[in-house]
Parts: sequence; structure tokens; C-alpha cells
Amino acid sequence: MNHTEHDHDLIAGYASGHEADRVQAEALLASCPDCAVDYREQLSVKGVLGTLPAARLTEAEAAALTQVVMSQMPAPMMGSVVDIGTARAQKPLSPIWGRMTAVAALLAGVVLVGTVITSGGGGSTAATTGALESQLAERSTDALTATTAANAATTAAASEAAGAATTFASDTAGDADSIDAVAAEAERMMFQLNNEDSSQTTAAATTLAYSDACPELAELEILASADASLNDRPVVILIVESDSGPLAQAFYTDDCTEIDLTPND
Amino acid sequence: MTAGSDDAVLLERVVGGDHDAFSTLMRRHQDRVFSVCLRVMSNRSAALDATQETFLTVYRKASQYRATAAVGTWIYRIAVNTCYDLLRKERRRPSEPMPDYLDPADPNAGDRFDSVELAPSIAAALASLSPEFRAVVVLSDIEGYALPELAELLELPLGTVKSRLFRARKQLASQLGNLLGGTEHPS
Repeated sequence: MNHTEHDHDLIAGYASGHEADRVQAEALLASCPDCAVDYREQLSVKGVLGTLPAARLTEAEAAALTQVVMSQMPAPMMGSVVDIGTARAQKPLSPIWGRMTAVAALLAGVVLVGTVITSGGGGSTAATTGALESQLAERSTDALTATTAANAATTAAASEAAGAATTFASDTAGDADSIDAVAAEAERMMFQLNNEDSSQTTAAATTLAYSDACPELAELEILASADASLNDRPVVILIVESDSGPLAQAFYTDDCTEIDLTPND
Repeated sequence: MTAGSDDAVLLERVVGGDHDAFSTLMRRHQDRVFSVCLRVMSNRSAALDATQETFLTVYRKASQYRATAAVGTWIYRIAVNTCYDLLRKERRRPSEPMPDYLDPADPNAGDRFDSVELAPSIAAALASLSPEFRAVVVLSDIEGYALPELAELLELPLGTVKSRLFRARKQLASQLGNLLGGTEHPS
């Protein structure tokens, strides 16, 4: 008898003691010597793994865990929506993140104005971008100069958003500051996501846009995205869903390497 | 009252802001969460981080729990997904963490291997599996989850769990080689 994927499932199930597989598996093993070998091998591995003792926390580790977790617990969460603001509050912002958040909040206001222009005014993207550019030129800090901005997370026009770019000029900021600028943009997206629903169509467009070059992106559940550039390289900033809550990530899209957004203290 | 319904009551109190209830729930599950995290992460320090992150997520998402699965199953699902997230981040970093079996001996550690010769080989073989295969085999063959429960925990079809389990054991068999010969087969 030939092995098939189905047979393997049956053998694994029977070796695990899955009662529903017993009759069929016994018939298979009686007629297929190779299957019987596989079965014995499965049992052997299961047996060896069973010799590993269960891991336990030491008393000191358990005490430390309790202390750390309880100290990071915010006010109780009510309702059924993940509150990003509260989640973020569990980890105090470092000074640089605090500073960048202030800059980001300023930019968020500017970008929201741009969004209104885009969706309500009927003007072209270029015109909107130009308007934003001039506002940003007046308001941006030395560390962060945005030459073009797009609110990719919330725009109604997903295709436009996927093609729009947020560029951080590297000539006015060193590498670290530029990464800080990307981090600030990510923080702004988080902020915005916390205050209004993100566009899944934008996320889908992002996944599609980079799925060839960056197949890893296809595995992520993207809540919001924005295109950018850093050091003359294309970058995508993402807010992705994770079991630890929404998570900000950024990647160079030319080689898919992740940009470390961890703040420098 | 069963342990499961007891957990559900505790979780309800957690949603209402009862920190003592959360502390009780955590004490009840922390060893098993840590055990799962240690076997999946292959590194004690990373497992501690994953355990901590798991319980913070449990607290944060307590109000989202729906009684379609036992509280324990829900918690271990969060633990496994937290491990996946941390491993994914780790994979993108240049340096690999030191495997747990190479960590300096901690005389107070509660999970010292009974057989110092055998266990490192098993741990190394486990560490060579992909996180998805490792999680299945750890939960099934070390933590003792029945397959339907495991499928629910991992939110995978039963057939996928069996298929991963078969392939994971197959890979382990080739890694462990002769070690398998001396093992007593379970009935």
C-alpha cells in the first residue's frame, strides 16, 4: 500500500491515542509494513518526549512574574475593543518617544486636514500633497521633515493610498533621527487607529503590493499601512495585529529587512 | 464547581477590575504557560518574557473572552501565539538566542532535566523544528493535550494537527536517531 498524506494523519492520530482513528489505523497497519514502521517511530518519539519533565517557574521567577505583571496592569479594560491607548500605557514612553509623540500628534492634525481635502474637496492628490507639503514645511521639526505626506491608514481611496508616499528627508536628520521619524509616524498611525477604524482595503492593497518581494508581509494581519522612504530606500510602515495587541513594524521593501523601531533611551 | 467554570468566574471578576482574581488565575496557570513557552521558545529567558506578555495579554483581552473554549485553552492559545510573535521578531534579528540547554546551570531552576545526557539532545532536536511543528509536538507529547483539544487550542483543523504532528515526529526521529531505540513505547 502506498503512503498518502491521509495515512500519515491516521498513523499520527492513532499514535496519539485518538480513538476515532483506531479501527481504520489497525487495518492499515495490518496491511502496510511501512506504515507499521512509521507508527512505531511515532510512538518512540512520543515516548522520548514524554520523558521530559514539565518545566516549572522557580519561586523567585514566579514572584518576579507576579510583581512585574501586576505592576504593569492598567485600569480594567471594559468593552470588547482592544484599547491601543491603554495597551501602550502599560509601557511608559521613553523621553524620545514622548517627544516624537508630540510631533506626531501635530502631524496627525495636519494629515487629517489633508484627508478632509482629499475625500471632501474633490481635489487631486497632487494638489492635496502640495497643500500638506507647505503646511508641513512650516510646522515640522528639524528632526522630522516630511516632504510628502499621505494618510494611508484612513483614506477612503485605498489604491491612491497604497501609491502615496511619506518621505523623511535624511539630509536634515541623521540615521537615528530618521528612524525616530519612522517610529513617530508609526506612533501616529497607532494613535489614529485608536481613534478611528483603519481601512482594511488599504491593508489588503499593501499586502498585494509587496507580496512578491516580501512574502513575509502576506503572513501579517495588517491593520494600517503607510509608504515612506528612509535613506533613499523605500519603506513601508505597518500596524499589525498580534496577540499582544497592535504592533508597529517597518520594513525596507527593497530587501524586506525590518527596521528596528525600538526607541533609544 | 469545576476548575474550568471556576476559571470563567475568575475571568469575569477580572473584567470587573478584580486584581486578586487575576492574581489567582495567573498562579493557577503560570507554570503550564511557562512550560509551553519554554519548550516552544527553547530559551528560559525568552520563555519568561513570553509568559509575562501572555498574562498581560490575558488581562488586556479578558473582556473579549467568549465561552466557546475553556479559559485554560484560551490562555494557552494566547501563550502559543505570543511565542510565535516573539520568535518571528527574533528571526529578524541577527543573533540567535542561546538555547536553554546551554544556559548556565541555575541550581534553583525547577525544570532541571532528570537525565542530563538525554535531555539536551531532545531539547536540541526540538529547537530544530519550525515553531509551528514544535508547538504541536510540545502540546501533544509533552503537555499531553488530546488531539481535538489541541486543534481547538491552535485553531487548526484536526487533519492539519495530525499532519504537523506526523511530520514533526518524523523530523525528531531523524534527529534523535539511536536515542529512540532505548525508549519504552507507551501503550
